[in-house]
Order: sequence, then structure tokens, then C-alpha cells
Amino acid sequence: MTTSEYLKGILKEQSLSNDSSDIKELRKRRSDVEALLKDEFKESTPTIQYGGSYVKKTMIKENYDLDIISYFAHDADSAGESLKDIYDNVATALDKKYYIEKKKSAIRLKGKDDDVFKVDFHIDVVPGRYTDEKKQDVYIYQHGTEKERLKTNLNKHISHIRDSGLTDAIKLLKLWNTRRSLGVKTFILELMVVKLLSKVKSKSLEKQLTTFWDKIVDAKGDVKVEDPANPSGNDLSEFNDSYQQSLLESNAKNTLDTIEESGWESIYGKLTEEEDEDKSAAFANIAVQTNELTKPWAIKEK
Amino acid sequence: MGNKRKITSINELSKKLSLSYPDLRVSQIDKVIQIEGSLPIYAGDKILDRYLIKICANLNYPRNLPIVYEIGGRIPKVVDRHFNKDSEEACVCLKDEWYWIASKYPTLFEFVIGPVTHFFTWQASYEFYGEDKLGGWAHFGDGRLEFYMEKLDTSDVEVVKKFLILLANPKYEPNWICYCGSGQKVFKCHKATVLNLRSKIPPKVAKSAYTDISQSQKSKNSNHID
Repeated sequence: MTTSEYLKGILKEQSLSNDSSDIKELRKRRSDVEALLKDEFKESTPTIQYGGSYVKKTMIKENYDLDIISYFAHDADSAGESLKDIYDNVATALDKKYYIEKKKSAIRLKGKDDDVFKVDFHIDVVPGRYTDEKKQDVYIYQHGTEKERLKTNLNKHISHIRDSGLTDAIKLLKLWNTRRSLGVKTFILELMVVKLLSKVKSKSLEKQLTTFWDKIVDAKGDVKVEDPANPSGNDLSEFNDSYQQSLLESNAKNTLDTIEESGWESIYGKLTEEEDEDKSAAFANIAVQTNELTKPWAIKEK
Repeated sequence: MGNKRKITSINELSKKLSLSYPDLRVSQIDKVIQIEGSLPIYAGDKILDRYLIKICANLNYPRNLPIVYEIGGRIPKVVDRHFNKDSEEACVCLKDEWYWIASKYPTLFEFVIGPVTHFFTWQASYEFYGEDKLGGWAHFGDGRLEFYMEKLDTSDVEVVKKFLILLANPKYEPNWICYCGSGQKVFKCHKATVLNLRSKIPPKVAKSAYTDISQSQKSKNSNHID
């Protein structure tokens, strides 16, 4: 098997078809969230749009997300006077049905019921307000910054990534970032890939990936990217601080060395096409061996 | 000299992990060693599943049980899946069991390939079958009771409680009356069992086991009355 075939195989393993249970569940949750927001904010009637890897075509099984954008008209105050008010009101509404985690600009949704308690639903709700009646640019709340707001444009983000011609490389690098828990924000990683691989779009996947890691090593992890929605206005440097840079550099170097010594399977693992019967047999085998093993418990909660 | 030893052991740990677990990353933050990344669940040389995990271990490992988290958001953080709801810590094994077996896992590497892998293998099996096929300890005090009943080869709760009183005492007294109910002194009866367990399980752990088991029994009795 060639490296190209192998990498395509990894991509295939990570693909999520539209009729997969993960996607069906994501769609259902999306509908539930949309219904909740439209019901809670009847007077303001938010525009609901979709973003994230789902729309950018960069989803992988091990790391995918759907952004649900809830944007209010520039002159609608009923959802909240300030951006922070809008953010807080949307969070309060979602809190009725979900376990929420407040992020800098988004609200992550997790399960609230026992059978899914704190299970990640892979959905970020991003509240915002259009800057004007054209409904293109948006202001979103950004916690912890001086202005407490960010100007952005979802459609520009989506097309910048989806139409880059580099979505396969992005997926494989997302997988690398996820498996090693490097903590690079997906959005930043996508921008890095588009920037660093702009001249190798026509090259093989193998060449694209090694070029990415080479360039990361050369730059010592310090790759400056711009927000395509607001290049001069939005400072993304905080998402790649010195610790992150050092982590990126060392892992990129380690990856290149490992590929040279042991091949690509050492990075992405062997290709598996396990049927359920094989898995069932494998688990049954594990059951036989568990007599001598430790067993899980549950500690009393205080 | 102390620092060189620590760095060497982290390097050693990284090296060992990289062979079977190339996606686990080791770092040290202050006095905590952190292992983070994707843990594969193997069946032979095939990977059945993967979980994103984080392990935080003190430098005095294995004196204290490391804290383990599932950070991928896949597993419900509930008691039935063996997680603490609030702290989201994984209950990889019984506290008492840990002290019993810790000498088998003298390094963090053994901890990862042992209890951590077993725990997530259990999770993968549960997800696959939709139920527990591999067996876990009962929750809370009942689990601890199961453990001691197994170690003492008894089904009598009172025997376990008497044993734990002996274990909880800071100092071994050979003239204690044996826990088993024989009426004989420990040194003539189950001295080996007592000394064996005392050598492994600290008094404070035995004391907390006694409390947990007593509370579980009390709850059961009051439910029964209701």
C-alpha cells in the first residue's frame, strides 16, 4: 500500500456519512437548539446559521463540531442591550435544557440528563448582533478582552476553509492535534494549514503534511495567522502563546522523526475495518482475561 | 541531583509510552506529572477504540492514586459509569484495591498499561454492549465491602468491620482478639492475614472503609424499614 493510499484510508475511517448515527444525532440536536432559541427570543427572531467543521467539510470522527450562530438584528434590543447581555441571556435560555460551558464567545452544550450527563454534544452556540442592516458582519461578545467584542463574518470563515483545496490535509492535522491533545484551537489550526500549504495545494497529501510540520519546526511553532473576516482588527496571537508554540514545534519535530524511523503507521495507527462480529469476539476475549485486572468503582460524592 | 533524577524518569516514561501509546504526551507542571492524549484500547495488535484522557500524578507516586479524567466528553460523568459527577474524576479502581496492588504497578508506565487501560477497556465494552459485561465493584461502601469480603474470604459484614478496626489501629497489637470470631488472639489465629493487609493498606484508608461500609449498611437498613 502506498502512503497516499494509507492516508486516504485514514481519512475514510474518520469520515462521517450523513446517515451515520453521530450525524443524525447532531442534526436532531441542532433542530432542538434552534427551536429553543426561536421560542425563547420570539420578539427578536434570531437568524440561525450553521458553522464549524460540519459546514467547512473538515469533520473527523474523533473531533467534530457544529457551530450554531444566533445573530440578532443590529437594532433589536429585546434579546439584550449589550453584547454581554445577549450572550448571558442566550446562556440562561440554553441552561434550561443543557449543561452549558461558557467559552470566550461561544456556549458549549453538554448533556444534562443522567444518561448523558456532561457528554459533549459537539455544539457551540455563538450569540451575536449584526453590525448593520446588510447582515454580513457581526459583533460577538468576547469575554476577557478590552473591548469585550469581536467583529467577524461567518461566511468568510466558511469559504476560506471549505474552498481552500486543503480540507483533507486539515482533517489529518486535526486528527494529529486531537490525538496528541496539543490544544491548538481548530480554527487556528485551519488558518495555519491554509497559510503554510498555500503553495503545495497540488502536491500529495504526504507532501502537504510533511511540509506543514517542516514549516512549524522552522518557525519554532510561531506561525502568525490572520482572521479572514477582520484581518487588521482581530488579534489571534493569544491563541498561540509561547507554551503552545513550543508544544507545536516539539511535536512536529517528533512526528517527522517518527515517520522517518518507523513510518506513517506510527503516527496514525494501522488501518482497521473491523466488523461488529470481530469487535464482539475481541471484547469477549477481554472478558475472559479480566479476572486478574482492577475493576472500576464509584466513590461517594460529597 | 534531585532534578536530574526527575527529568530522567519523565524521559524514561515518555520513551516507554511512545512504543505502545505514541499519542500520550508527558509533561511536568510543578510537582505534578501529567499524561495527556489519546489512549488506544487494544485487542491484540488491533485498536478497538480510543479515549482522550488526562492523568495527573504526584511525584510521590505510587503513594497516592493518580487522578484520571476522560477529556473527550464521550462518557457520561455519572456513578454508573464510575465517574464522580462533580469533579469528573474517573474511579479507576477501589482506593483499598489500589494499595493492595500498588506494588504491581511501581511506575506510572505500569499504571497506564494496567488500571487506566482496564478502566477504559471497561468503558469501551460498556459502550459496545450497552451494559456491564466485564464487572465492576459495587458503588460506594458496598464496593469496599465486596473487596474485603473477597480478601478475607468471608460473607459476614461484622467480620469485615472487626477486621477494619484492627487495620485502622496505628500500631499492631498481637494480643488483639481475632476478627474472625474464633475468640483466639490474632497472633494465634489470622496473624498472617492481618500483617499482610496492614503492610499494604494504611490505617486511614481502613478507617474510611469502615465508615463507608457502616454508612452503606445503615442506608440499607433504613430503606428496608421504609
